[in-house]
Amino acid sequence: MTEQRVIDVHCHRECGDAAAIVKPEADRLGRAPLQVGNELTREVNKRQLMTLRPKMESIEVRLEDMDAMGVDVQALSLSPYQLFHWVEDVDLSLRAFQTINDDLAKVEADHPERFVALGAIPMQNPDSAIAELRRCVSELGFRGIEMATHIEGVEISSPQYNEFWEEVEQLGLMVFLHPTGFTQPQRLMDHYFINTIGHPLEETICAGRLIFDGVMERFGGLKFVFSHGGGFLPMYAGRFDHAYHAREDVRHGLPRPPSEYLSMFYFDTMVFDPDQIGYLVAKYGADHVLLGTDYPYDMGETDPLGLIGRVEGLSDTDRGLIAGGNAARLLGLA
Amino acid sequence: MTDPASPAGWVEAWQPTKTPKPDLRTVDVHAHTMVPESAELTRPHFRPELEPRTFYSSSVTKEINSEFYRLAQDKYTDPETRLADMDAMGIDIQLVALTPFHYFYWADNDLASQVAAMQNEAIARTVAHEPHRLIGVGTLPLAHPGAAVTEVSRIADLGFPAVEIGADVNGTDLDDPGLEPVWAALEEAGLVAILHPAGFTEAKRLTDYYLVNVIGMPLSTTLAVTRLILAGVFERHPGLRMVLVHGGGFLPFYWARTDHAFRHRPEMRGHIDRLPSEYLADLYFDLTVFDAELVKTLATRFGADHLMIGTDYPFDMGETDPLGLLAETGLDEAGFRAVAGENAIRLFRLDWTRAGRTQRDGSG
Repeated sequence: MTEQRVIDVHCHRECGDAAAIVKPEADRLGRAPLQVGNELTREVNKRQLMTLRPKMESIEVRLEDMDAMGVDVQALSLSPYQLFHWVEDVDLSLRAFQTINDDLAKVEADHPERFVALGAIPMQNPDSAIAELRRCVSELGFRGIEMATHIEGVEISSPQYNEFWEEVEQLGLMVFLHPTGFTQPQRLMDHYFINTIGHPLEETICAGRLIFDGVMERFGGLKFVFSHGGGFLPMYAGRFDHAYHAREDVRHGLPRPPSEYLSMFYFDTMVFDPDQIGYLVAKYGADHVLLGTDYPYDMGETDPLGLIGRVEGLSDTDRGLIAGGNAARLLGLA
Repeated sequence: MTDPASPAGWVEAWQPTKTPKPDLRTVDVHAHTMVPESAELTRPHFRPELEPRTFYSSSVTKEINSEFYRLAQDKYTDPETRLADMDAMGIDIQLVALTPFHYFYWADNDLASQVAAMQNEAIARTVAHEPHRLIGVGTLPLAHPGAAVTEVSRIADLGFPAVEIGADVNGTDLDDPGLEPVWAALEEAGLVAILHPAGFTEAKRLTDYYLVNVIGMPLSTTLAVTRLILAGVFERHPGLRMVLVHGGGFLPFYWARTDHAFRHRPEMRGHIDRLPSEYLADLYFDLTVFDAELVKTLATRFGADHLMIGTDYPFDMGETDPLGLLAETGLDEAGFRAVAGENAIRLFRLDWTRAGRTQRDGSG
């Protein structure tokens, strides 16, 4: 195929079968999806889960929406609230995540020209995580995975995941990072701050930890794609670099300043502001920015190509890279 | 040789700037002092859990900070040391505000009133040392709005053009209805509010790598200003003028997500009619972001007339060469002059021909 395909690296699908598997456990623990926030937020989210159901369940509706947005291929990941990392039982969680991945694999198999699956990993158990990672690649043929910014409060940069990241690096997978609000949401209950501030904050902390905890120093081949433009850090890196140069408790033996590791990351375009995308391109290169839509949520972008079109000073080559070239490269699509 | 990444190294960091100073008074709107006797007075009532930056700091961070405070004591309290460092930075005029770790917002009504008055008197004495170059910024007992309103008029009487306020009051957000009289009093007195955070209250995951400060400070400002906007504080108090330090945290470049949510989510609406970013555009931002590209982005978005030099003097998270940073942005001459001093002279009315100033100069 010579023509450049438009690839959306940030879009979601629900998995009802996996939800059914963990439902008894969710009921026992009193967990309900997307219920952090004030009363109005909980109500709006509940309503949205219902109204979005056709988009989540019907591939035909999804394909129509993709056509309307000008998206050829969705690099499809699970709705992050369904990353069931809170399920402690090893067998139950493995079964749920296998169900998720089998479902994503089927969507891809039914429409190989339109979908690429990003696997979901039971990170709460590092052994299951590696096992399911290998199955995703060897049996299901996945080229990337989705990753939360923490696992029930444990940083993904913590030492217990060293082996996991080593394996991901060797497999050459793209890792799409997506938050689910902030772990300490007490002051983010109103105004949907759990999302508008919580998401970019989680990404900022996660990126900071991957850098300062030395994950990028040890596994420089990892291909992390941050959602929501990487949160606050890509534009506010000056404070990190200054602290690194000024303070021993920040430097902590890290050989290079944080911004150098930050340059190894990739960022999606889900920021609603062409100038911010322009900043990311100028600072990190057009080869580090990828189109995303957050489909089908209300915090998503329905005209992603229009948004990229409004970024000033981009060449056609740059636009091609952002719209799909970079995703094709990171996912190893021919 | 002293390790530059050490408390001792930072104390030596003030070297004369090589950047030519414009032929106008340069103004630093973000600098700190401390009032040791106020710390003594409040010590028996100290509530460590309400000082998040310290409470969530790692032990190595606490050691580094103690060592720094010990070595840098003169910079906080001795006007001559301050003036010498201002000379090195190319700064003519500095607004002198309390270090946020001396807010002591957890003090009860009587103690808080007493402490704020003591601190404001001490700041007045410091700036009286060189009234042409040092300008006082007051502090308020914000947990007790009645006392804060009283202190606003005392601060105006001291001739200060501004007050410094925390980004939250013991975890209570600034849009709390109880603070309405304070905003009205500031508006009425024509005092500028300089919003300065003291760390983030929910900082459990920010303990390592000094993230309590590196992320906690801008985060705290981001949350505070977003709430002030959405709750309609600026809508109800159009005369309230506010300066955000550290470049205003994250919102000045990440406003579009909040605007999008405002358009599509009912939780955001109810108090304001315009987009959140439009209220943000009425505020002012300092340059303590360590990145000329970001400064340029802020200038493009908000106009060079909304930016001012800030140094965070004498903290190690400060800028020791503000004119160098400003030169690096490539702003045109008018923009450079505006940011270097003209904006602050206008906003804080640092006009030496005004009667009040002349009077104070005469008594100094």
